[in-house]
Amino acid sequence: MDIIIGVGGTGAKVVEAAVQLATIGIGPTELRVGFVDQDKSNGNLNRAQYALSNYIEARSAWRGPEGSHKLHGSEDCPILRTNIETIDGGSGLWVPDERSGSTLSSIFGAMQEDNYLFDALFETGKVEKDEEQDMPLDEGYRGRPHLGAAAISARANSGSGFWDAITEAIKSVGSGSRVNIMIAGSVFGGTGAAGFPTLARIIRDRLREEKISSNVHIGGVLMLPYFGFPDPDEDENQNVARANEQLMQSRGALRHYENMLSSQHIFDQLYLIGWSPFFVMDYHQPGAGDQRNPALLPEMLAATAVHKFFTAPAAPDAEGVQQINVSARANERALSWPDIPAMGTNGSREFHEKFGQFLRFAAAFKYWKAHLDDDSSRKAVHKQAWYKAQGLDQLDWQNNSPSENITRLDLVVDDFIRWCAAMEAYARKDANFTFNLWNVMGMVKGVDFKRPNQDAEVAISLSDDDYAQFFESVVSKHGTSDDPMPDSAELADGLTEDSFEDEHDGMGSMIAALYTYSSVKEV
Amino acid sequence: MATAAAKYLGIWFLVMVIGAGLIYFSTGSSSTMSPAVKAQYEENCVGTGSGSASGGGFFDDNGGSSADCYDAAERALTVEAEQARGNTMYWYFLGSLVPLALGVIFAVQVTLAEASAATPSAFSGLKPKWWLYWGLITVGGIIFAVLAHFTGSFDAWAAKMTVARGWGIPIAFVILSWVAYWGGTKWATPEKMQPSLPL
Repeated sequence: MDIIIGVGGTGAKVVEAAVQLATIGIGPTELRVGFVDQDKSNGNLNRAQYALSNYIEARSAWRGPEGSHKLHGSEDCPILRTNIETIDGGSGLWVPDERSGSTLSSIFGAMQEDNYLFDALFETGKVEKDEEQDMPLDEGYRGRPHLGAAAISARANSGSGFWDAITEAIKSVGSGSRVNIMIAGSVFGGTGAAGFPTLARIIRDRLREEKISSNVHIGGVLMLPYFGFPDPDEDENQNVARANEQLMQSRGALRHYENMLSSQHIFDQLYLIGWSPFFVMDYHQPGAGDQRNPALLPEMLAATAVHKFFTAPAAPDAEGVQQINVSARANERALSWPDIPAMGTNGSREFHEKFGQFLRFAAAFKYWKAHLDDDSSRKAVHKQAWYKAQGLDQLDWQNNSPSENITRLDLVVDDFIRWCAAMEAYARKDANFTFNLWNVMGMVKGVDFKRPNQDAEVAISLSDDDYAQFFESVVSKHGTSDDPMPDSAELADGLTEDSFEDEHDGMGSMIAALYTYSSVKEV
Repeated sequence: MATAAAKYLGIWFLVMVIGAGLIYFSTGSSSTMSPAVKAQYEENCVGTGSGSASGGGFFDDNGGSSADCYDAAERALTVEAEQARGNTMYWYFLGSLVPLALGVIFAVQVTLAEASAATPSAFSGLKPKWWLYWGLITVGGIIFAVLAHFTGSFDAWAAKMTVARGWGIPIAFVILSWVAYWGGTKWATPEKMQPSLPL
């Protein structure tokens, strides 16, 4: 069993990135997803949950037991192959203290003689910006990881579906299965910095309590500072995570990790991912729904780390053996496909092939589905060879229409395009940085840097000219000397001459054909 | 490209040869000539050679009877019919070059277009051209019919034949041209580009 837990807003973004990779067929066979955040209205968390919900519904439509339009297997069409569920069967979110107006004081309650220690550890009674004991936790821990660590530790044993699921997963290794638990969070900020080591330590402690010493692996993706924002104006809420404090906090946190990991075996694999120079956000929000930062490239790298952790051969089970991996790239002022961490024996090419194929599929899907949207559209093309070759003339469009399936797939395709568009826009925002991965901006309505909490709008469909252009330019080649990628005419040839009716059901045949002939290599 | 042209050529040849055979075996005899032409050959035989050796009557300058005259006229008419058939075949051959040329041009164009056609609108993008060439074939057939009837280009063979053949053969030629053009382009056009054809 593979489990990923996103701690805080940044952790949620890493989970979202993992879900996006699962959409394109990069992921384990089964995945359980959980979130930890005191601020349940956190915009990053909400977007991750939205992406997760869309994925689950799309997968149910195309690979679930019900319905007659299905994708089977993953040989020729691996999209949506990972079976993702929330860890608790519900929202997957654990809020350490859900009570409205919860504070650290309310969590610990009356402490009698421990009150002096409490006062020594946590600020109170002075200026608002320094208040800690009675700071409302509804919008997270606001860059105070020591608050989060205390709150999370205090509430971890309070009983919840989230912790019950983790305990059950840990105990399942008794039957010989292996459990991989990946925790994603940031070293800066509040919830992530607090929860990341705390959760890992709690899980490691539970392993010891259950006397489990093998087949459970704990991994961590720790995001180092990678984006910056301006300090709030003086008259705004001062109790927010300040950019200029992030680096100092991160430095301190990393020293803490160094000491911790040198004396304790907590993580079997730890991935440290940062970015230089920072991505610049043009705004800042303390928390709640407006803390909805756009997707950024380091999160995609984090997702490759997640995939590697779940699929790489098991690390040695001996105590004290910890793998620590740090991301890097060849050129600080550029990012190309060879910079993406290898996932298998084929280096970064496998990632490029899957990622590029899905982007091309996205363009093809947006174009071709418009010809099937309604009766009049279908009537215009129903005699064409590709329509018959894909078995579309055999479908019962009135009583067993694939429209619902197509809509579900369209949602995840849009999610993926938006995710890529945000990463691309913020990478290209730096005029001195060369982004050599993909080009999806033509398929979105533009990313507004002044409103980074607003997602870009994806085109509903593509014109003939746009489709031909985007299909062939949406993803860059892996290497400059690589052969040209097949063009849209070759995809049309494939739709006309090839059929996957034996492998997939109903509309699944055409989806598989579109995907197969969107390959970045000759088919 | 060469394959497409060859495919078209094959269908064209098949249709046109069948048509040529039908025309050839339905012409060439005196009965295919128009009454006016027949009358021209027989008018000299009226009132000549009508007598007999025993009863008197009229004889031609060579002493032949009217029966001999009509026999001679029949032979001459047959020769005329065979010449007309020859002109008809020559006319038919030249006329069939029009659907041949236009069909081959279309086959080449649709094959070239196929290489870059990526969208349903591109698949049917050559339909206007198909209809244009079809129109030109029809116009060509009409022009050749006019030439056959009203000019000396092909010795006005159509005017010399019966009305049924004089108009029927050009009409049949146009229909055969349509069949050859549609059938040839149907076979020559790649599967993907079939929407560029009617039916």
